[in-house]
Amino acid sequence: MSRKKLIAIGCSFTEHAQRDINYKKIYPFDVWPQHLADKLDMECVNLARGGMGNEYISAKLVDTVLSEKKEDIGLVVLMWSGWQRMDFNYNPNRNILHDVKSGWVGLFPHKDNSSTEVYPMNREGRIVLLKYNNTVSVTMKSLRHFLIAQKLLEDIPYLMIQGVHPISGLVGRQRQELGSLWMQTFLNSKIFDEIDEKKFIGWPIMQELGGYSVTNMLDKLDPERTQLRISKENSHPSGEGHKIIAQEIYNAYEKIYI
Amino acid sequence: MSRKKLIAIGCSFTRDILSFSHVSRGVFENSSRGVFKPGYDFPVWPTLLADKLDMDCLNLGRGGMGNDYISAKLVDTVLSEKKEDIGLVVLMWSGWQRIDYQDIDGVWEKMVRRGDAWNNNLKYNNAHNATTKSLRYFLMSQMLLKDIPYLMIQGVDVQYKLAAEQGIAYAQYNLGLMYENGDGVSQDYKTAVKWYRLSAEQGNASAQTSLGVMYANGKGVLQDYKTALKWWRLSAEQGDARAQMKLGWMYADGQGVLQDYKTAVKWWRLSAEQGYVTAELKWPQIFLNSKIFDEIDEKKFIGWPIMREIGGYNVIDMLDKLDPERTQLRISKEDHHPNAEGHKIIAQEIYNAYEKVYI
Repeated sequence: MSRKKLIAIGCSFTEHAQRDINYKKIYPFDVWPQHLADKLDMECVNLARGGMGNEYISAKLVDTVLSEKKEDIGLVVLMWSGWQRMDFNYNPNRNILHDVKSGWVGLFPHKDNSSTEVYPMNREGRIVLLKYNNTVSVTMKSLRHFLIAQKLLEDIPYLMIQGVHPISGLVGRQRQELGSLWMQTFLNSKIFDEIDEKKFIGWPIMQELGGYSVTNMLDKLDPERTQLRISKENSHPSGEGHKIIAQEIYNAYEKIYI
Repeated sequence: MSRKKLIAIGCSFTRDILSFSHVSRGVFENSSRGVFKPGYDFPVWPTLLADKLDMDCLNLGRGGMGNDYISAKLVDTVLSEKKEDIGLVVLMWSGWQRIDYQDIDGVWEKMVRRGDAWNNNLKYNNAHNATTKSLRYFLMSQMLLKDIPYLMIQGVDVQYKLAAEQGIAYAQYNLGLMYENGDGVSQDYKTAVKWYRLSAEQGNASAQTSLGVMYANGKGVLQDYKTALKWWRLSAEQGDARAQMKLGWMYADGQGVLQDYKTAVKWWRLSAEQGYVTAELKWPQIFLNSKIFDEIDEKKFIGWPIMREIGGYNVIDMLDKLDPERTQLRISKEDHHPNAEGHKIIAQEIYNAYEKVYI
């Protein structure tokens, strides 16, 4: 009998590659989906892609539900990405990026990435886009992604966890103002109470509310970022970091499914 | 026992002006949106359908909104209403390229159709993205509603026309493409040239290339290599790989220009460095090729598969078939929203589907 599949979807915290638009190289160590699949004796299917947000994760989940037989799936793990990221699906036959096969391109309007954007955005355009991609909008959108994923996976073993910080750039005064708006939106949403917290590791995500993300989890164990991250400049999990993540998810799996 | 609810979600084809306060209506009448004018005070299809079904009507339609909004409101509905209180949910889907957001007060807004942000969003939110995203919404809604009676129908056209008419270069280019290839419209080279030219004159490189192709092939215009060359040069200088390739061939063949292999090779190299590939999926192909296509429950999606070319229809098609001159079932020739009679037709169409599936 063939082994069941562990299907992992996420961003660069899950993908087995370090990339920018000019190069792509595979990490010289296994990432958490492979460690977890080994522990569970499952076949690893890693659908993650660096730079992508929750729209991508949600879309890949729909693809998975449509293309895999339920009985072949052992576990689906969704490691959610930054909530402000915007993802677009494009014709993979159009060569707008060096990596032409993925069919997805990301946009992060909160940073000036015009030198690497496929369609560079000027300052005015970025300001307009930020107005629409505001804290309330992105929070509600991600909460809906969580709820829909939960509904899609009703009959399939799954776990979720927040990978990178949900909202970036919350510093100084901005942290107080936007942080409080973010928390209000999050807590006041009708969706908040609908999330199955047993299956969402670290729920309710925010440290202020007693939750955590993968970033928080690694920082707690390694506040100096010298052990569990690639480097101080590159905050992606190191080989050891990935083992810790796999163990955390395995523990949650054990509690619910074994 | 209280009556069950008919919950309708959609865009301006669904919204109920009668539910607005007189103050709100007055504001809209004087606003640039200009659609809320006296004469709009008639019951819309959700009200008419609720009456037929003896249900309470909850109309969540909102003008200008797209499928992000419809999908979000459906999630709200599923969370806030008790299943046993819902008699029927009807989703009338909106234009696939609309982009909706909630402002910081939670109020839904549409992205303004001007400026760099919108133009870039149209590029990102191209036919491929918009089609696959809407298909996901259809499937997710179907899954969310699996224990609740529901029907879906496509309201307005799925494509670029509105944006194109408002002068957005990229949308104009796409509309030109549709007319050239007969995607979603009857093939019409003259109209394609019209839209390509409008877009090209605003500096859209893809449109400049396509306009050049029309001149080179004599499609919709008299064949004219010099003019083709002019447009290709403008586009190639902006870095358009297709134009660079074509310009290379013009130099190689000496068409409209003195034969010059060195210059030909220069343009070909620039094109090849960009990895120029020609395959371009078209709307119905994207739609048909999606795995989601086969998963949609066509009994509950009125007009499925939506696009005329493959035997489907939307509300606009339905009204146009009955009233091709748009004098009977629309507000006016300029305002294509359904009038009171149009709304009656729509309500009847949905009622017929309800009868087939649920009675």
